[in-house]
Amino acid sequence: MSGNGAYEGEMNDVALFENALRAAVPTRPDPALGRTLAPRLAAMARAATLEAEALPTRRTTAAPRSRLATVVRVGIAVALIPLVFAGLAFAGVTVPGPARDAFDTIGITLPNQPAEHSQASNHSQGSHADGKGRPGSETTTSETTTNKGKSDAAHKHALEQHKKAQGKALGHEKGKAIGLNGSTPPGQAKPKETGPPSQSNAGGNSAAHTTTHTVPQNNTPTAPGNGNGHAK
Amino acid sequence: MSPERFTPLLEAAREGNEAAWQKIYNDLAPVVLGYLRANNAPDPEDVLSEAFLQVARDIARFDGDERGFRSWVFTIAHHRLIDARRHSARRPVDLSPEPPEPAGHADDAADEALAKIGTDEVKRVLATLSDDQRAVLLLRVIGDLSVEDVAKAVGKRPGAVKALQRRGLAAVKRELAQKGVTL
Repeated sequence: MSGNGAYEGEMNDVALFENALRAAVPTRPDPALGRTLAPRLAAMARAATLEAEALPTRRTTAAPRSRLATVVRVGIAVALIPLVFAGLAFAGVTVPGPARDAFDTIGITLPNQPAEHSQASNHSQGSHADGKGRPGSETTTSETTTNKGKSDAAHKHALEQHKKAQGKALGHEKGKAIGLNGSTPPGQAKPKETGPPSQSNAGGNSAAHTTTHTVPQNNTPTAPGNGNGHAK
Repeated sequence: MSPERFTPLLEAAREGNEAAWQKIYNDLAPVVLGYLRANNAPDPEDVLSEAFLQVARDIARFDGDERGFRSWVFTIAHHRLIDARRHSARRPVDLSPEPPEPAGHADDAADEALAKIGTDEVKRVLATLSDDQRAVLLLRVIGDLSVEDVAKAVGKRPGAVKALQRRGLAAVKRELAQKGVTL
């Protein structure tokens, strides 16, 4: 064993075995095999050398073809990307926002996508700027848009709705739910008044947008959960 | 063989000189065949022929000195061995179905070692090693390849080859110690 890479003392330790191995393993092949194989080897090597010499000329012609094939493959791969997204959308998968935006830009609306995206994009296009949208969904839309900070118009719209909601809540102040209108702390309601308990949600919390939006549509003085507060 | 002699031999072999191929075959075939037999190659002479045919097919692409050529031939033989193993079931290690011919290859030290350990003992110890350990030890001892060349031949990193060699030698020592053979 050559010393290259061997550990110190390893070779000395097994020198006897190494010698025995060297003596036992090498065997002379069948001489007839060598006599028949040598001409075949020579012929094969000659053919391989001739082929190798001819190879450079083939390569010069083959190179442009392979480059063109690469370009075609890349082009097909790029063209498949929108199809993949469209296929995913048809399958019911929510595709990422940038991909949806790209489709929207070229006028294609992907199916099976969440409504909030399309409404948000409508907001940004000004189609919903009049503030008279569908009740119930307005709050969600404006909150989502405001939270994401995507559109100033939507943000203003949300603030407007918030102010309206506060106005409605103040309107309840004319009734019995005095303790929860923000001006009077809930725990400091007058003892003689028959208002709701201090921990009650009676009268509507102006911060709860959904409740305040639904109250005007009910047109009833009793909002859900505030029956006691408005009893008298 | 000196580079002055090897380079013309290689060139003649590339050009298809039969005598050059006969010389290459006579020099390398015994050790390659020994490596294949010790590694339990199914039909070792067949694998040897396939290995040399691939050497002839690819010799136009070979570039290197005699040591590199030897390493390259062993690498091809190792790959052909793996292919042959895939096509046949494993069999117990059989170093040489024919009677061994140590006289022409062994020197005095080898004779002495063989007298002490014996061919059967060598076979038995080799059979206890894993395939990788046996391949590494045989390429190092029989092929006389460096760790880097063995690493290329077996497709492992030099560090892994050193570890396999160390574990293989430790196993050899352990096996021989059990039989009362002191190395």
